[in-house]
Amino acid sequence: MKKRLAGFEELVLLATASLGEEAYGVTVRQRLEAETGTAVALGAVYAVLDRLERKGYVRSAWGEATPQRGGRRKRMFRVTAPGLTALRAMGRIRSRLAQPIPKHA
Amino acid sequence: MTRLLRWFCDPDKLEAIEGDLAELYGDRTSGRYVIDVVSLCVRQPRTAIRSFVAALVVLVLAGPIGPPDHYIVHATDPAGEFVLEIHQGQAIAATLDGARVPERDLVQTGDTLIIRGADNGADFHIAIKPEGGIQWYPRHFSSR
Repeated sequence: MKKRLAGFEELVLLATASLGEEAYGVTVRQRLEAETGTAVALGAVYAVLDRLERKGYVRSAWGEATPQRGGRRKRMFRVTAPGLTALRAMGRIRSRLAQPIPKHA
Repeated sequence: MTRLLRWFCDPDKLEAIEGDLAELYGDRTSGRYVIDVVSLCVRQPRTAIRSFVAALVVLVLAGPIGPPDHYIVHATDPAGEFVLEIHQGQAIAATLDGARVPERDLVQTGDTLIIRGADNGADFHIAIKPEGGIQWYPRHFSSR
């Protein structure tokens, strides 16, 4: 059976993909808040990133530790090939579904 | 809050999460910080906490554990086989070696059931346990 992307999962995956090699908890959250204009809890971001990792759509690896982070490492996320395929598939579904919406609506 | 996070949070994810919180808030403790910590505790719990919560949910959904409402006991002792049908703690039917016991010979007082004449002519006493099941002293073998 095909794994589906829920609404917030898709947004987190898109934010992660757009950040390239700079995607980790803080930057994904900031990107989501900037684009949606709503507050997003860090716990929600991590919960979805973990779920996406279990689905094989992202992969995580330890990143650098900075003084600003008290010497703690970042957990960096990268979108995998199946993740990109899922995003493209969702994009196609969205554009097909959006076609009947009149432009002046 | 940090102690709460360390206690609740999955240790494998703690370093990254604590780092993110330090980067976002430094030493400041704002309302947003509290919301983030609580959301992380709830959504990134230790495996043991997750298992405990899951077990608790299953228990609550399963309802209180009590004796079965209706059950049948098949038992054997030296005198032979007997079967009891119990409904809500009351014996409603019995057979001795396949023969149905007349209702008038089944006398129950509280948790004690007496089957008249079933122990070589004497009364046969059976305790019906509140948690389900029965307890009895084996009847003696009869050469009749």
